[in-house]
Amino acid sequence: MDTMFNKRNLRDSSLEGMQFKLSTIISRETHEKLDNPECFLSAEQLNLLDRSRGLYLRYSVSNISHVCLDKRKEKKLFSRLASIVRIQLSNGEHILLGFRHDSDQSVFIQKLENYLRQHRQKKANDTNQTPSKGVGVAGIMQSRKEQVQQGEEQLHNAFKDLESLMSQVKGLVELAQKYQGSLLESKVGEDMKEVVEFRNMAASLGVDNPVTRAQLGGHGDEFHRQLAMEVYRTIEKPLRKNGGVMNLIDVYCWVIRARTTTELISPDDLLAACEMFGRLHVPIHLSILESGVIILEAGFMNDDEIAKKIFELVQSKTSLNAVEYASVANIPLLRAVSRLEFCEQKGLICRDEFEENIRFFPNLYF
Amino acid sequence: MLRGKALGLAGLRREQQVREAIDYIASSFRKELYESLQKQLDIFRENLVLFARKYRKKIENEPEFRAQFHRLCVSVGVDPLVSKKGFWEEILGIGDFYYELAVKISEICIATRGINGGLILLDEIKRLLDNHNEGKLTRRSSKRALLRNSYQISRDDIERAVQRIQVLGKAYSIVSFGNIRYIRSVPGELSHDHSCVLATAKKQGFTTESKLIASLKWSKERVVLALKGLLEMELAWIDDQGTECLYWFPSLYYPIDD
Repeated sequence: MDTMFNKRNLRDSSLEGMQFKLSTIISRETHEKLDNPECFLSAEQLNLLDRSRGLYLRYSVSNISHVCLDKRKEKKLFSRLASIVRIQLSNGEHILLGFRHDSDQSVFIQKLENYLRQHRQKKANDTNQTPSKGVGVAGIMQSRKEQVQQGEEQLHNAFKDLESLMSQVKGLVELAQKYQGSLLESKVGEDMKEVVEFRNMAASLGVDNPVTRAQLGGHGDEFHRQLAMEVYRTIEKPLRKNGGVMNLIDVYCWVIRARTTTELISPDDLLAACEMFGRLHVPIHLSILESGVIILEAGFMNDDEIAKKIFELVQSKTSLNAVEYASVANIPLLRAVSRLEFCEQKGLICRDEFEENIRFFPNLYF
Repeated sequence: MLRGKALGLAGLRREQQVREAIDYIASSFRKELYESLQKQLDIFRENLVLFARKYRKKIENEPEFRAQFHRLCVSVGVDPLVSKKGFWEEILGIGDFYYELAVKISEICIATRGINGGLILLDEIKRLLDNHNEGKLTRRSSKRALLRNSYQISRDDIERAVQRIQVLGKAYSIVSFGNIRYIRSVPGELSHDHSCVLATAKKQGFTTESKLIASLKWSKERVVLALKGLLEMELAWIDDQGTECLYWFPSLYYPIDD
């Protein structure tokens, strides 16, 4: 990883808990800059911390094999620097630190080398006291303990990083809300560029804004049309086998499993595709029931036609109750009840309640 | 500056100038906010990439870390699964995970529906998913196999997947009987259970929970849900005077050819 220190003088440059003030760190993997990072040593680790973004990187001091001056100047970024210090890690990676002033760099190397020397001495002393470190049951227990400790430390670090990331998100969310507030106050028109861009930003962050949901998916009409036809082809047989009714989640499962490409479609895409059935004259009808359940029903029938059919049925049988209708039409009981009630609302049938037994008769009165 | 009352046309003009000045300040303030928002968003994006580099594997493989991640997101007011084009999906890749999980869950539900009437224990689903992950090969190509095999699923994940899939309607829901949680994949509106109960009770005009369990061989919870549905439809009367609750069905007393 390349780390570059820029012009700022190194202050407070003693080690073990004290801090170096740097101005930029660039990560080689991603070529990114961190502004105003700090560098300090603590608990046998070299830390590079960017407070404003809450991000930090650590390297265990025991992994540092040596520190020296580096002669490289090939990259454009290095040309402004007086010297480059190279910290070699034992796993083959290295860190490059760039300094503008020679004095800073020599101070840094001196301090770090001192620290490394002390650290190695301490380690040597420790190992001398446990001569049979890797041997026997005691050795196994020791290494297990170290493993557990390391694991805990890693987890601890992981949670810390997670929290710092989240606090950043929180700040961002608050800023976004502030901005939204000021947008509302100034009554900017809905279609203005700013508003649209703000919505996109909120959507990519995942801030829950009901307006953004409508614009998600990002796929055009054409995609949905093709998807609708695909859904129809896939779902035709299973729908018939299931008595002509399927809930939308089962449909989603079928469609995904039938697709040979690996691209998952999102549920929102499926919803949009099914809403197009009417326009495309597909004989499947999407309906949303009162409780929030969404189903696909086979057949061109819309609600009015169903109501008419019920009316004819009631007429032919003089009267009908929910249980009879359910068995005749072979639909679930709750559906039968809701359909009968719908028909009643339309004024085609009326009910007669007698001792909790509700029967429906043709409406001859209105 | 207004001196005393705003007089006549000059006064109106002055007012207007003041208003325009305020509007101008407001809009430039807004623009500043917008720019800083953009900038912060970019910074955040970079940080998220760094974070993902370190922790993406961890999120994928450790359910506890994943759950903590989600909890924090909720507390901050952000939903990482909302959009396929959002940062979270793009950089951390967690969107697909939950959709794929939801599809697996619904496969299991569809397959077991015949036996349990759409009511399945959450732990049972977890058990089946774990078994599946442990190496049964499917006939699907190995492209999807990568997604399937390496994740460890927790109860929290299952519940989140169900929640996520409810954007397609509330057909799948999580019901609790005491402390035990079930996934219900056949909502009342689509269930033929009620008609079955009525058919069983036809001979005597009434029934009890234990009778239904014995004759239909359903689980207790399934029977309870069916009876509850019938009560709500006002097709059943409940009689709790005896040792066990009796359920009466008036609609069975008056057959059509009376």
